Amino acid sequence: MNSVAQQAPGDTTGAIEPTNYHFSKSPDGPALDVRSYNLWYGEAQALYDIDMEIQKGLVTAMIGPSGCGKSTLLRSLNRMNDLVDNLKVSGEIIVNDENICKPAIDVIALRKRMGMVFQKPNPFAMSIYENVVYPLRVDGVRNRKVLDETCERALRGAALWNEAKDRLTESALGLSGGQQQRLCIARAIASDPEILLMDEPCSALDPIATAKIEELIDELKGHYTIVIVTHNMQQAARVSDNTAFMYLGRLIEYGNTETVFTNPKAKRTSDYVTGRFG
Amino acid sequence: MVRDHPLVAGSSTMYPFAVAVAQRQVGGGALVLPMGTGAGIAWFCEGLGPATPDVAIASRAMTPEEASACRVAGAVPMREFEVGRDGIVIGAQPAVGLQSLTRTQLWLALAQRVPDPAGGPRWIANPYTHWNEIGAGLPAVPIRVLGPPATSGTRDSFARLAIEPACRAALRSNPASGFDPARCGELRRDGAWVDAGENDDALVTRLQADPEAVGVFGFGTLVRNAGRVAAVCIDGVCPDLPSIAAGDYPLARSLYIYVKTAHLDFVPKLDAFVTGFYSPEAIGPRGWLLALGLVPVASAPTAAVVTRGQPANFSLHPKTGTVVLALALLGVLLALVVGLALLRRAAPVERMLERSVGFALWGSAGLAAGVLALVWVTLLVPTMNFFLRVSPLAFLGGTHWSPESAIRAAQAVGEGAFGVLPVLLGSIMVALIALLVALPLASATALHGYAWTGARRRARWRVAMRLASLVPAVVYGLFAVLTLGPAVAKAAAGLGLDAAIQSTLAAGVAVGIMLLPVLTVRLEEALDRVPRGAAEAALGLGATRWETLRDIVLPQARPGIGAAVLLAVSRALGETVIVLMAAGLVATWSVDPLGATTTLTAQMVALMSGTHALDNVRTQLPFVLGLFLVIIVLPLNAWALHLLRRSDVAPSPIF
Repeated sequence: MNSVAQQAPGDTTGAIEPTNYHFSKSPDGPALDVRSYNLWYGEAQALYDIDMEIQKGLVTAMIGPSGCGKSTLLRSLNRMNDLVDNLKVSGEIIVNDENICKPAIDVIALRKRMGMVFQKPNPFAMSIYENVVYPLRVDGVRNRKVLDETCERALRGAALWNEAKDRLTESALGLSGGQQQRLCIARAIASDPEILLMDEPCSALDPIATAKIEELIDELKGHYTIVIVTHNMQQAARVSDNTAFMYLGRLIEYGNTETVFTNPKAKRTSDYVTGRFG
Repeated sequence: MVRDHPLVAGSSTMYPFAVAVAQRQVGGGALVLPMGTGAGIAWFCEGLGPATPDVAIASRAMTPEEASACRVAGAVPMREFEVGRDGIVIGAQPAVGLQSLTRTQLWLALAQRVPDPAGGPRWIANPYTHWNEIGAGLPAVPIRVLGPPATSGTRDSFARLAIEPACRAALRSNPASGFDPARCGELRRDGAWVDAGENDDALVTRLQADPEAVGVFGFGTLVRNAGRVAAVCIDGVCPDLPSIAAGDYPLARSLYIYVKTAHLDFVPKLDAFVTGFYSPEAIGPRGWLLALGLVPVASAPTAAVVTRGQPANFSLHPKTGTVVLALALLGVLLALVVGLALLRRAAPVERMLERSVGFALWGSAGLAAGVLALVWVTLLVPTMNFFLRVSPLAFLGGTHWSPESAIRAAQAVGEGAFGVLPVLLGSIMVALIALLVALPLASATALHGYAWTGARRRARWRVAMRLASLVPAVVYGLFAVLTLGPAVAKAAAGLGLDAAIQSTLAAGVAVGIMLLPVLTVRLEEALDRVPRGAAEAALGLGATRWETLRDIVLPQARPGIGAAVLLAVSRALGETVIVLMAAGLVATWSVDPLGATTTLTAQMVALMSGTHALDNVRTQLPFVLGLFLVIIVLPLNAWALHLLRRSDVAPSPIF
């Protein structure tokens, strides 16, 4: 099924220009280090030689036009691409000094160390409480006290506690879209992962809910490393510390957000952020 | 064996009439045996069943003793029909010179014992040898009367009508004779009365050879032999149609037929035989029964009365189907016409076309609905007729199913031989075993296909499953009979158990194998329908594939899974070919999977053989079972559709 075959480095023409690589570093160093990462869906190559150091405790945004590979890259970070048929990768992704692209890696454990939030809110058809504590149950935690505490912590962290605390046993499907997405965030942070991966988390939400999520991201950073894929350049500009611009599977520019938006180094980046294409 | 023609026995007086009715109304398909009223009734009263007559024809009424014997033997219920009147005629050759007699004279001429002409107190053996000894004006001819034997109804009627009244009158006026009135009907055995056999026509021939003799026979015989013999007037009344019909002729009697109403359900054409005696062609002016000498009763019962006591059948007018279809077609045409008429106002051509197509489709849907409704009615009518004869409680609650023997014995209709429970149990057992075989395998395949197989391989697998589901059921039936059945029997024998070759287990397994492909596809679709997002989220949180399946996917797939199982059950219940071949036709009230069994569907087929008369219980049974099956399966299907609707999908196209 998911034969993530290792291949020798292929097309290296995608490697980013060093001049375009000017991100802000975090005092804690990199959380994820992507090195020469290539990815093929069958015969079609989707990612070309990606080199990216995602800094701990910072928010890294990935922007670019549709089909540029940002979601693919994001999902590579927690091996969610394994669910796709005929996937081939080469290169490395180092997390905590470990290359997670090796077949021998315990993918389940890896995913538990990262939380993922998807584009469309996808709460389980359970109560709010059960949704939030599901990661712990999967881990085998049964202690009611621990679960309760975790639930409250996670919901508070997702800024949902006040709205949800009286409805914990009600179905999560009864929440509004924005609330559901915050629930998914709560669920994602329930097991206290190091890294939060967010794949266009606000694209299905209205502006008010979006604003709340962005506020949340602001609160969460520092404690969590956040990688957020977004279609919305303004959002990237608002929330992120570093921004990566991708185009057709290649990383064009990766740098400090302010610089990328006000003074991009690559022409293509400036064309995109100024809206000449998109 | 069930008899497929009426069996009629009894009076030889009635014999010509019965034969005529049989030939004209039953197409010659009835067997009529002249053996005398008494013998006929005796045989009739032996009980119910094909070995006994359906009808006893009688030239006299059944006596209370005979009726009681009938009841005791269980030859009931029965109905008596007066089909006509007859007169006992004293026929004489012209040479005898007898034109008129009184009944007293007949008594004196023929009784075994008569009052002593010498005036003695006791009655003596009949001394008279010549007619003129009895009455002045009577010819000096030896008394020799040819008549029917003791088994004959004519003889009984003769004794009752001609001899006994005079005898009793004499006893009343002379009670001291000490003669037992019960012996009033005894006729002399010294040769003056000759038992001349049942056949009246033969008797007339003998008369012609013996000119001085006198014959006793039925009016019909007189009519058929007019010219060869002349009737003697009795007590001043001569026998003819009016005098017999009105009862003026003293020796007039009624002719009867006795019919076992239970046999009306099982013997084809029996009702035609009975009603044949009353048809206008038979007894109207120029009727052929009249031509034979039957004097019709003053008021003939209608055919409805004939079957009174039999519950009237519900039946659709034979043209109903045609009418419904015609109406439906008319509806379609009307819809088209109206639609086109309305369309003339709509300007754009596209809208015209669209609306006319809409109307036509609506009409076609109406036609389809009409045909479906007709199917329902076709099931309903025989069922209602069936339940007029068999109690629904006996059907639904009885544990003894043996319609063949019930039909054979023609007994206890409504008393346990039509208990459907064993058959239902058979259907349920086969369905259960099929599900036990199919569900685990199908679930495992579906789960693996969903979570562990790549999309392309899964698509190929689905195509293969769909193709597999198109294998005709009869192939599985053959497999069951030739391979599975013997294998099960051998395996069971190896374990020391006793298994039939045609076992429930073999049939159930075969049905399960048949269900496997479709069930797998449906289960897989049920899993697929669950939105991927939740599963993805779970995986993203670090749940394993199995945990995701267990906690997220399966709970949400429950309606689809339920629907899949329900549809499989309903398919298993409706399976006919496989169980017909593999399970046998033995209805037992037991849950032994190694034994033979039968199902509702198999019984429907088995009972469809033979006669197809719709008022026959045997023919009604398949319809009853069919309706019963539909009533069971319909809620299952409805529930399945409800579940599928809850999971927001259209049902899969495979059945």
